[in-house]
Amino acid sequence: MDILFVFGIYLAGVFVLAWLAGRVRLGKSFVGEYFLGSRGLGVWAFALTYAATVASGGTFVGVPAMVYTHGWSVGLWICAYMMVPLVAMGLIAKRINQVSRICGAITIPELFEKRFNSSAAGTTATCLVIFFLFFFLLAQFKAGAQIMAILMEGVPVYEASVAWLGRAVNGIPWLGAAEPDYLFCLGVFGISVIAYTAYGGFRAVVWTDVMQGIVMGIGVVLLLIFTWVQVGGWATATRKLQAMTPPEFSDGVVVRTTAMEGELRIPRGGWLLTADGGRVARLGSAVTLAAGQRESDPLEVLLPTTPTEIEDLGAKLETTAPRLELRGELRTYVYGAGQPGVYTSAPGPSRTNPAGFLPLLLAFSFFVFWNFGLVGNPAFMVRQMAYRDTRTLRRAMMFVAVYFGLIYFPLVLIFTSSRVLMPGMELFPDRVMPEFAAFLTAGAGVPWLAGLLIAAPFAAVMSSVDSFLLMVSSGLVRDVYQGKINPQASERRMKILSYCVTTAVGVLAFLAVMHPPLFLQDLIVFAVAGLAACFLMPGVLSLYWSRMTGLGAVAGMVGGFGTILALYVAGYLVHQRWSEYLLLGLHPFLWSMLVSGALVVMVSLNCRNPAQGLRERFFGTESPRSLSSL
Amino acid sequence: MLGTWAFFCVWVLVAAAISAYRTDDPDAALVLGLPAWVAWGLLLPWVSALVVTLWFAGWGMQDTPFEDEEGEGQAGHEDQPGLTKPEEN
Repeated sequence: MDILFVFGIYLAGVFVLAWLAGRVRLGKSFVGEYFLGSRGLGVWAFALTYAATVASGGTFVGVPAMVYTHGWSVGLWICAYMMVPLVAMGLIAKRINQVSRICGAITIPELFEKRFNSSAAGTTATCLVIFFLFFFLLAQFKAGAQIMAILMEGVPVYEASVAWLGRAVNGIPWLGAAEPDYLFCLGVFGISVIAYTAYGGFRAVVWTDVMQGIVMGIGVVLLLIFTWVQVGGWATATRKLQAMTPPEFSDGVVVRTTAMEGELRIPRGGWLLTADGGRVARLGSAVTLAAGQRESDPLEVLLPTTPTEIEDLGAKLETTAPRLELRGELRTYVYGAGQPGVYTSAPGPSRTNPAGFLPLLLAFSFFVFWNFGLVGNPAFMVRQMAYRDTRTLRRAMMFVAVYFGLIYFPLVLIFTSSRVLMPGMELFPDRVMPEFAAFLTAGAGVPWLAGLLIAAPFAAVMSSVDSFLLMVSSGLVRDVYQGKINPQASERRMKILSYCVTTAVGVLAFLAVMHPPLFLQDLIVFAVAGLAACFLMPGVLSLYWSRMTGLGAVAGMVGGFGTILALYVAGYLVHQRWSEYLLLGLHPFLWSMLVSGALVVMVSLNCRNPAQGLRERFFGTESPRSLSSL
Repeated sequence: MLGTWAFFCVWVLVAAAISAYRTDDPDAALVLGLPAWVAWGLLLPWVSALVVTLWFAGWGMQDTPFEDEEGEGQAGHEDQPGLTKPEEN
């Protein structure tokens, strides 16, 4: 309950901030304030809303899962963040703010429409923003619900509520097929985030982002300290990691020993000795043996292969406990099996890729992807339209650079060590972060602090969900309704519509993710790559190239979209699962970026010159800005 | 800016290519308790990139005054000076 109390304080803080943000909005122009905070963000607000939106559920749930599974090679995968503040903020932040002020744009599609005086450019941008951000929302909703389920596990009120909900939805189509604990947590998470985003708008999102950014920062620092103490220093952790080899997987059944009677329950993740006593196995799902039942149905199990791990885990297990009989073939990693040192080197172990987790060309792809993917993401672009002045931008860049350094590198350090302290999590990789937080705080004798540590990933998820929710909502209300259907809509009508649409989009995402997609990080990478594929080249060129036309922008967006979609479809056809196709070993994002950029240039040069008034308005009468200034 | 990005990209990838992509030495040397390639190929460039960013944001970037041409949150798509109604190029 102590954990819940700390976590409850955090949630209460979020709601108070949202309420205050709603009060501040009174008396100001609704649309500009609701969707852009009246372009008045100061250093702290701008820096932390930017950082907190970048650090999503992927950072605190997906990345720890990957580090745990693939070791230090993930450091190479994520290290592009060292350049993100300089590239992502330095490349367009000043210019996009300037251009959006010139034309009074509040959303990215509106910026495209006004920059080119082309409704086709605006409409295309609106459709693509809504399409990709919806994928992003799904992944974040899933992450939020998962974290909450781990936090609540074992709390009597929660268990009773879940049991009641399970009975209530039993038999209802779609609802009844979902896991009741996941459904309950999804409901609580969804209602919280939809309520404060719909009520408070952009300012509430920014203010809560500030709080969430602080919680994340404190959470990572505490995790780092606890890990360092409990693992016995980084050198010890690295030496142990160097000796580790990837686990094996198989199917097996749980069998009673002769001395046991009555009903027997073993939770998901329980450890057992194998029937021959020579190995230990972790259960992929819970097992219940009724009185008189000798063995369970087959289930997936994980078998560690590192000798010291087997010895340590085996010593803790009772010899009279039930045993596990292996009934399936052993499934090993296709890269790294039986290979010490694979977790401390590249390309890292992989269950599916024979070339390893991160071949060198893919490492290059991600160095490009994380930097330019963020430049081309409308959710970050819109934040760069909201800061007050360039002095604010410069200070925010400094802050974000330090903040990312304190978040991303330590996360890799922490979760490579988690592999040493907490074996067998490959079965439930997305649960690594919250379970490790609970493990560390219990080990340190301060279990209540897990509430704050788990609030960190929860904050990351919330701060991203609210931003993307508002982006989708602004696309529909501002760009579609006000832009295309009713340009003379009254302030009151816009206000009611904004509340309703934000709520409706949230509810739709909630319904869609009731049966969650399997791979959280894959969905996030797809959404980020898709947005960047569509908006990076058209976005950057529209700010710096006066010759670019609206049709060029449309061609660039559609070309980027088509390329990335084609490479993901090809990946699915080749691998028979959700996966990208790495043409010549490079991530689809790079190909999409090239196609998109080429189309922008070719189509623009083949159109007639943009109107002189348009060029003068955005580029002045002096010599036009050139790309060499970047 | 793009040149700075390219410099760090080359640093990280060359360092990785030379020393990270080899699993034949499970007892590889440690620096600051980390695998040596992590220290020289990730940590050091990260600290250097931080210094460069702080310098750029503190002294390299010039302040530019912003002027709003149109008020924010205006309803609809107002006629813009020198422009006709939205066209489809």
